Amino acid sequence: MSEKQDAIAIILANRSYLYRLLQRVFGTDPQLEILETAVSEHTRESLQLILQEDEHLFDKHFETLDNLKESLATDSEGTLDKLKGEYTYLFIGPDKLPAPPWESVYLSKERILFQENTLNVRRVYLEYNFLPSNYPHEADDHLGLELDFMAHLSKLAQEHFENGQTEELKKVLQDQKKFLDEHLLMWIDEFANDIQKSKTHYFYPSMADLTKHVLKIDNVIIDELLGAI
Amino acid sequence: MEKTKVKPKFGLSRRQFLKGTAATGVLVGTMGAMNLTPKAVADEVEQPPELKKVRTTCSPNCTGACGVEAIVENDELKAIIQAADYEDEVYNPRGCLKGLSMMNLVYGPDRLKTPLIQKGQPGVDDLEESTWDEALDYTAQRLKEIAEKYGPESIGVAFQVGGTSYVHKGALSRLATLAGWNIHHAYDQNGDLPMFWPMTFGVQSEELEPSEWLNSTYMAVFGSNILATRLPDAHFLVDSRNQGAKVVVFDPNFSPTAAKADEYVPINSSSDAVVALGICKVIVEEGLHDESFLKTFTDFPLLVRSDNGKRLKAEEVAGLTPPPVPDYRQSFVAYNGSFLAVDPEKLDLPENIWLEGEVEVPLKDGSKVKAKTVFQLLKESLGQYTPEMVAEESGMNPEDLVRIAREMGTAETLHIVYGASNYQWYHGDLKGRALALINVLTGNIGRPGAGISTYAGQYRIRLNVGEWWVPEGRPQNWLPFLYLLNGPTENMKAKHPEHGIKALIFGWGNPFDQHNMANILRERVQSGELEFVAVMDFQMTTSCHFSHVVLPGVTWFEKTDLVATPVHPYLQLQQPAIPPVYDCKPELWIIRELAKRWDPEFEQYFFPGFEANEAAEEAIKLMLRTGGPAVEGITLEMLKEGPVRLKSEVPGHKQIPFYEQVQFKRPFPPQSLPAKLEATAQFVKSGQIEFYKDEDVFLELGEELPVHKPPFEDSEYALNPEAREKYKFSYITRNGIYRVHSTHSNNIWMNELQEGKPHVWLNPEDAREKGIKTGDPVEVYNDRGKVFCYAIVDPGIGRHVAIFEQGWWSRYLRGTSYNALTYPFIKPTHEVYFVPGMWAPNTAWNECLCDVRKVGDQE
Repeated sequence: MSEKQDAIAIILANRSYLYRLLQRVFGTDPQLEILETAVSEHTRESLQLILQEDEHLFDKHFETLDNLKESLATDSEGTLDKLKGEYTYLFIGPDKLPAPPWESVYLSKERILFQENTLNVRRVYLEYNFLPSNYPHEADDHLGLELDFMAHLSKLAQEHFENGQTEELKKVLQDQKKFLDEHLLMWIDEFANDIQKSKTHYFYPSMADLTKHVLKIDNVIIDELLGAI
Repeated sequence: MEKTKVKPKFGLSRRQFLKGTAATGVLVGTMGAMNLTPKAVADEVEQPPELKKVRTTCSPNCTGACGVEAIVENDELKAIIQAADYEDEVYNPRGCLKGLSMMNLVYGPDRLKTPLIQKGQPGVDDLEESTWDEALDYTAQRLKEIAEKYGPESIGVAFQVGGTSYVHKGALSRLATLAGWNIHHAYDQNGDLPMFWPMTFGVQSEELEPSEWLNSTYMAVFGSNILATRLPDAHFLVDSRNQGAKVVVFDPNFSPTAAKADEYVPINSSSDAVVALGICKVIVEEGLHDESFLKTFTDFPLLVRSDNGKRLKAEEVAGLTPPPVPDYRQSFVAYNGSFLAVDPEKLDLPENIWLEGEVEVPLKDGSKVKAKTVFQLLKESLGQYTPEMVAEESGMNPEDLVRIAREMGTAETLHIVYGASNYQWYHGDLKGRALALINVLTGNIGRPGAGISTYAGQYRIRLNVGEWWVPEGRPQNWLPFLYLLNGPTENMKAKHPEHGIKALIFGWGNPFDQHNMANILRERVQSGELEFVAVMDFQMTTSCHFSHVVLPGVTWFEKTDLVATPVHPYLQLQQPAIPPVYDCKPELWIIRELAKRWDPEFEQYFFPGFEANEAAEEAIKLMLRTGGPAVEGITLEMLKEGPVRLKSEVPGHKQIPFYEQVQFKRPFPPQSLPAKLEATAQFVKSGQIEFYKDEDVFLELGEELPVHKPPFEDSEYALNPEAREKYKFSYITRNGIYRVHSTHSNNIWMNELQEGKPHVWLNPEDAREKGIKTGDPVEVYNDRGKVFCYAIVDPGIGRHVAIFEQGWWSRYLRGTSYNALTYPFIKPTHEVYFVPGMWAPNTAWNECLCDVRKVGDQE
């Protein structure tokens, strides 16, 4: 395998890993193994690889992860409990959510759920024969679901690459780019921004900001990949 | 915001520095809540479903005209949500659970599937399915036979609430006009015509748009239950109160609206006129009235002859030359030391004009006559309404009356809401005139937040529709529905068809449940007196069971139409979200097919060659082009984008009745569409707000000025003197929150919220006397009919009142009809003029006596 091929394989594997990780972070209430993975050295390296982190732009987020790692080591149960509270407060309720994790909130004038965007997202999932596992009880444009879609497609891209199916690989990457352009990137800025206002919490705001950057850079990476294959 | 730094060119090569490993294995555990799963193979679809969202207008007879989004999957309506797209944010969102659960009706078990023909006995035998051709051919043939025998005017046409459907309902008007059929106007048929409006202001009805309530500092609600009947706008009442307005509710019953008020004033049934006149007496005595306003805008300075009670005409007075006036106007006389011929086209009497006093007038024939001003006569007439007298008649505490009168007299902006349940009484006109007097005395007319409003009959026409509704301006035949029930009267001004009404064609209504003495219609169709009945509806209503032909129509999710009601100021479209279900058809299509079978020449009037929705768009374009100032500059394309506010001369295009009259000193009345100005201006010949009516009937009845007359004396007791002892209960048929009249009577969600049972509300003391407890099956009855329901004993209900929530289909009432108890009283003052739906005999649903008994008790 040439050096270039190697590079592509590495990138594909890492974006696949990150999308899966972020889906777990936002798609479910916190669980110990996910948190431990999130604060692992592997995640740090993967983020640094994708974000080309050499200018210390994300130091404060890495610091957050380091702190979390430490408190997990000293008091895993208490930390988990605290994060469960944070997750519930931010994404479930009962109070007004500071940054509701659904696309249609940001793209509809009325800031409500189950809007046209929801249906558009559902239509895209159906092209790959996916439906939300708890359809139709959860709006299809939940951040966790949109990230899951990206994770699945990233995995698929990896497989196509390994099997040498170049055309299929291109198609998946183009679809991912389209999904980023038309959906995730349309609202992630506002979501990541709004969630910073929730001053009492620290893990999810940091993760939201990292997610924002990962998505933006992945959009560029996809172009690079398409140019390279 | 910080910028993400990206180095695209060299990124890929730089990224190799770090060898990524496939470490995803650690994350294979539980997926958590938010994840995607492959669709099951069995569930697999070749094509993803077609999903779309269509903005339409919920358009039942609440006339709330709430914008909704239909969520549609593969041409099936899956959900309905509030559109909340009104430019004026205070109107967002609007809607209610009825509208949002319309799927239950669109796809419900009562949805019509095909045309039906009755081959046996209407109301007894089942109708049989037929093809469209069979049903339409049969209808046209029967109508032609009847027209040949009795004349086309013996065919009656009824369509409900035009403002919710300018195209399809207009099409029925168009065909009825072409064919020479008689039209029964919904306004007076439904009891929606508050007759004080034409009598006092020369208009059909008026109202402040709900957002104007926020500009009121005092809201007095007389027998209107806004919290139930105006669900999408009820918040404005609470908002207004919360920002400091005082809200006072006068009602015999502690209604949900009374519960939101600052003050609730219980009064006896139909005693509002005496309360209002008592208030007016205090206002005038304490000098709280606005003299300048009265001199400019009312008939108060006009002189009335003491010999015959008529207003003095300028042409009668020696030395006076009346200005030239149109036929529908009259120059009367005022006095300021000398006699003035009042120009009814101008509101410009001098400030020194007499409001009070008596003068001797030299007449042209050389004789002399004494004359008093209207205001003088009014003051004298108000003399009888002392707080003690008011207390006696209404049950209202005298101190409260005086205090409230002072509050109203000094309020910055006073808004009075006069409820339909309150004006649908025999003397509803007198009550309205008395209530309007409070606003007029205090100058609370024609400015933001001020006025008197009636929020029923909210479907008056908002734009010129003549080009579509009345082809080529042809003459139309109109017959008020009360004459259909009563037969002709001696004084009627409408033309009664020689043979009466022999056939009925109706749409968007359920008259065999919903109309005054519904049982009479049933008897007539079964006896053959009514020879043929055809109905357009989307559901199998009680009326369909009593019809000879049922033509299945569609809902507002299945067609194109234009909607503008007075409830809020926006012009909107109904847009087809789904194709017509089953074999149903848009009504315009049905009417066009019928027109062409009646007379092949008529097809050309209904855009032949266009598919129904395209034809509807053509009709909309026609109405927008010719609709006049209210729709100036509004196009179909704009409406497809969303709701557009209608135009008015008020800043911000607000709806404030009589703003133009008061601010620009224009004569009364403003035009009430679709009537021509000259037709309605004759109601107020002085060009002013008129409290003195000198047409003979008013003088004979002693109603030249607003007075209080107690209920039942001129109606029930006159009809049957024994009723005074026999029936002690008022039978009030109010609106419930679960239905829009009879629409949603069969909505499964709504019925779940009310145990699926019709109820009657009774006062605990009354119930105790009758041995009735909550939940007991009871009958409410009088000599004319009975209704079966279940009792709710409620301490908020006044004494001797039986409140039934109207709208139930007969099948929920063990076959009884709750409207069988009512009677089609016609008040002679309603026959002084006849302009369809503007001055016509109005149904008095609540002028009805009854008694209540537990089922099983001795009859």
